[in-house]
Amino acid sequence: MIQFVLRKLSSTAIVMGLVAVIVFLLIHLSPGDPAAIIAGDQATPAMIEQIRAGLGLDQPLIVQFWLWLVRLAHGDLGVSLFSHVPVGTLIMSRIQPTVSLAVATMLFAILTAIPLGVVAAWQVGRWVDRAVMALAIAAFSFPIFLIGYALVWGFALKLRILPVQGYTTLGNGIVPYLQHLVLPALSLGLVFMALLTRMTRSTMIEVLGEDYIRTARAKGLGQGAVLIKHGLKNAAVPLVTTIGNGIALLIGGVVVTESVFSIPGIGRLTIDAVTQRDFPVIQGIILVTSFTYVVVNLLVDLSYRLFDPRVRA
Amino acid sequence: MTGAIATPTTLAFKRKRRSFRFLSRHLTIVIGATLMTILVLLSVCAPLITPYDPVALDLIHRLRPPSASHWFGTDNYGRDIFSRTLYGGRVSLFVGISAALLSALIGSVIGLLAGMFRWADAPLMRVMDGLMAIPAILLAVGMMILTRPGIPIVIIAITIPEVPRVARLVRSVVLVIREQVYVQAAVAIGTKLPRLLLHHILPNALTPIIVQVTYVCASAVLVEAYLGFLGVGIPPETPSWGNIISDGRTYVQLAIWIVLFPGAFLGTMVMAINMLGDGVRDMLDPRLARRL
Amino acid sequence: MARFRLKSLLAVAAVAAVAAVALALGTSPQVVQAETVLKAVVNSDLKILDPTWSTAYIVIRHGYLVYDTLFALNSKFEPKPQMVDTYSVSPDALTYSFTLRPGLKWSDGTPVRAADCVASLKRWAKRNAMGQHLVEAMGGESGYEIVDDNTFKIKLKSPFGLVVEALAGAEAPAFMMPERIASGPINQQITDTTGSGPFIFKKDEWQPGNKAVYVKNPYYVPRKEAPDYLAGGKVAKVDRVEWLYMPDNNTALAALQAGEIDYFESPPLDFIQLMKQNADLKVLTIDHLGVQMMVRPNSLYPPFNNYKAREALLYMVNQNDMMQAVVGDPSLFMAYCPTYFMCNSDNQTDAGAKPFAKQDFAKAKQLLAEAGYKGEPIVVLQPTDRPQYAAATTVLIDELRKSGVNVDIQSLDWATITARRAKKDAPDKGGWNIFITSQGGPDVASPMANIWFNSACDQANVGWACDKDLVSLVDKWASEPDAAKRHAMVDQIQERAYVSVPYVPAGQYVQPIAFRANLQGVLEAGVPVYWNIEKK
Repeated sequence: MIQFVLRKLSSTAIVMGLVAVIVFLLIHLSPGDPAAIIAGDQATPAMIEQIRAGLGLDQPLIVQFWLWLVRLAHGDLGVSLFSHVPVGTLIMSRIQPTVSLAVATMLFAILTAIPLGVVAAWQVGRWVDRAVMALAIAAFSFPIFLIGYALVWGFALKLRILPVQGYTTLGNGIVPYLQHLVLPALSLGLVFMALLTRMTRSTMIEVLGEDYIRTARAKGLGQGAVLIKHGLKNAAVPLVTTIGNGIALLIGGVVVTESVFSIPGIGRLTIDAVTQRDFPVIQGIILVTSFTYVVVNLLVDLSYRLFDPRVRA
Repeated sequence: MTGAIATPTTLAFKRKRRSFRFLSRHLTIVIGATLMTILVLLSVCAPLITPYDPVALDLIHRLRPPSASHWFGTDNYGRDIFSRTLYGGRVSLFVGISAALLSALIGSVIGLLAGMFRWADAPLMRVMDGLMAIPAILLAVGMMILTRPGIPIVIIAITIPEVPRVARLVRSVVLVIREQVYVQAAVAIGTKLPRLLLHHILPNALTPIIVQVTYVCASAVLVEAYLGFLGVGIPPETPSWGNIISDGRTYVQLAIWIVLFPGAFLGTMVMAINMLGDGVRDMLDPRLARRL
Repeated sequence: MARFRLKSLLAVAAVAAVAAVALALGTSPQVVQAETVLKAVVNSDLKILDPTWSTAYIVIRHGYLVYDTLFALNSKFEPKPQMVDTYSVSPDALTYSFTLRPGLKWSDGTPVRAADCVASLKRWAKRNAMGQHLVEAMGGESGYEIVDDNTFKIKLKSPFGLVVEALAGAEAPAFMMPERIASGPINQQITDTTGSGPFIFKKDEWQPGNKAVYVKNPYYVPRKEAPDYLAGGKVAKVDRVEWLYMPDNNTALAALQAGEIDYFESPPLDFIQLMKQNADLKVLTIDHLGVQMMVRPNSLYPPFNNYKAREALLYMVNQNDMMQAVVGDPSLFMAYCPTYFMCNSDNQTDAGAKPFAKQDFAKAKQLLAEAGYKGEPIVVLQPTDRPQYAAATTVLIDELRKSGVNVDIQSLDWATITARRAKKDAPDKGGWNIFITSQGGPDVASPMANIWFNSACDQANVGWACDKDLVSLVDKWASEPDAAKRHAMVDQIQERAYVSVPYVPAGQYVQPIAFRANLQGVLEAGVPVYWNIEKK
């Protein structure tokens, strides 16, 4: 077990190192010039040159990379080229809305997908199953932003029961906090609901076909009891995997959702940083999100070991 | 049939029932294939069907609602949305299919190498893990700002994050097949590697690859739209579903048709591809459902 | 085993939920309900706090909230004293003496001194074209003289007719800040936002990419006069102004309709009609001069290094078509404006414009041929993320093609374009031939303040317009102390400009603002300003 954990950890470290190199190269070979952007639309070339030198962007690439690595080793992600706020602080100030959105999304997806998937598996081949599967396919075929616009139009502009955009902290009350999360979580959650529903259904179909379930049925256990007591428990592992894999998808979806609903989270920070070529911020975000992904998946891998010793690496 | 007496009527009835049963059992495949054929035909025949040049400006007739002369209305430059949607379909489909084939090809090669050779396994899979750890949209956005935007770059940007998924799948299939008795036997009698690959590994890996490729294709069409939405997609002079929707999103409240029609086409297309993938999976290998 | 699995799944979900709640509770700024808050959506994100470092509009607007100016323009574009109480000019027009209003204070409560103003002027002039001319006329910074805490002088060595105009400049104004801040190195951005404007910037609540917060400045001493454009009394009538940055226009619009925000600085122009019909909203044009769209050729490389090819552009570009695509709503743009110096401005003239009033592709084709153009690819920079520039560029491409030009479209995001347009490389080696930009009216209206008009070759802005005769005409204009004589010289300058063509004016339009109907006292000040606004 310890050996397994150590091996996993070392390969995680290698992965993170690779990510760091990819991220640095990706960003520094891009043609946009932050100095020109900082200077504004009316700047003269001389002003731009002055600013570039001030930022150290005129140094050779390899020197910039080395300096970056040294600072990274000290836990210093750098400072935004524009606002001069440390990247760590900037990311921390945006984590709360993103985590809220992600948790709300996952809760919504899990709470709707598991019943839907179980019912579909139970009724497999019947019209209920067909309807659920059709819904699931449709839900991950339409882009998140179109779903978002449709929800805003219906619930916020026509019915006026939910806010159009924005985010409020829990400090302003639980009701406004949740109100602001409903539409974004719904837009983003539908995709995950669809994925999880499919996963639950197929796992359940398989589990329900196993011998001990048949035995349980033969023993005269009620349909509902069989489904919940035996079926669902065994579906937990593949579901956890799907959630683990979903993290990368979730992070991508968050970028789009936060932009549609104007939520000041990591996603919005990313897009702003990219359009403005705020190198240190982009690097910081990709490193932090990749780190999150790697850690979550490490935990998922380790949890298999805990759950089920039969699973090999 | 068993020994029962079959009158012509019952035979015909049974035959009918059987074809009906195929249709109803593989309803997803039928619907998916039909929708896809219609959309592909519309896109391929776009130059024959569309009444307008998809990039021609007509500033007098901007933001016109759907009408007899402009079936899907016009956008903020007075361009015909019907023409743009069909032409956009060509580009979006091209991007989707190219990304799917490319990622299948590269992913399969990497997966085969990793699965066949122990020395290649760890380094290759670590690089794959590294690529997977960066969220696909962020990686694509990064790629897009790296070079001049264009269709090839969009395809590459969409392909790279998909490669690890295919590679992982192929590797896992190869690992299973490699341990099979008949493969072991083939190795024991000194079968050369190309032959081994061609006759034993590939045929077995083909089904999961095909199914995975359809999903990649569907996701590629969607990612193209997301890149367009985020302003880093295919340049605006070439209409694609992604950039038509992206151009029109400011006008949602004023001219919903700019977004509605390409959006509906896009959603329907992605749905059709997904249904096709599901259908093929269920038909060829129901047990795959667990792995994909 | 199986039971354990389900339990841990539930446990993970529970922990996640608790963590979210804890996070949300942890760092939430409490908003006091009693104060009046004005929520405004601004058109770009405030990232830089130093108005001498960046002249991006958003930074200048930040400046107007936090800082005050010595002079300010009124609605007739006349400079009026703002922080200055009285001033006098010597008979030879070479010595200007300024006395500050008594009792002015910085937002930290310390008094405003003449020394602070001189330090601020020095800082401003290092980065500002008008300021540099002023310093040249003074023969260096020694021309400033601090008389006492309330009085200072500007002593010129050579005549300069625009001293007060320069100090009242609206687009890159000379903002006053304490000496300790202003005297810092010019290459370092200031981080201390102490000023003497009507509002104070709340640095602790600033979230770049999301919002900037301003509160009423208790030390501000407004003038007694009624507000008039940027001049007069600047009284803050709300306690708090929150600037929100929403990159998605559609979201901002919906938020305004739903009453979640009060004020929208730059609503998409196509929606103006829709908003006018909405009784909950008001639409107001605060900048009657508006914005000028420009087609900027690169004067370094063929064909546009030849003035005939630039003249061809004048025949090609149809302002009405451009504006149709950029603006749409005909009430917001001028079908044709035959001047470089903004219609409705003091310097409006149609001198030299006549031949170009009508679009003529044949003539354009002929002129291009005369300039030696033989179908080489022309690199057009097409922005992907600036809708208005993108619209104008789309029309320009159409017009170029109709004139037989082989167009090489380079679709790039604005960040890349700003970098690429600064490159002097050949167009096929990473350079460029032509792009679209725009500039605010007050700057364009002045032959000297308009950086795109400046034709000083290597010293000129990107595109490097080059015409020594035009430069000397503008210099003569600027050093003329008599306003009437200056006015007469504008015709001559424009006639020359229509020959050398530093850029092609591509249309003039206004960008109205929109706000909830319960706001009162929104000023038509050219730029969005937040004083005098009441929320009822």
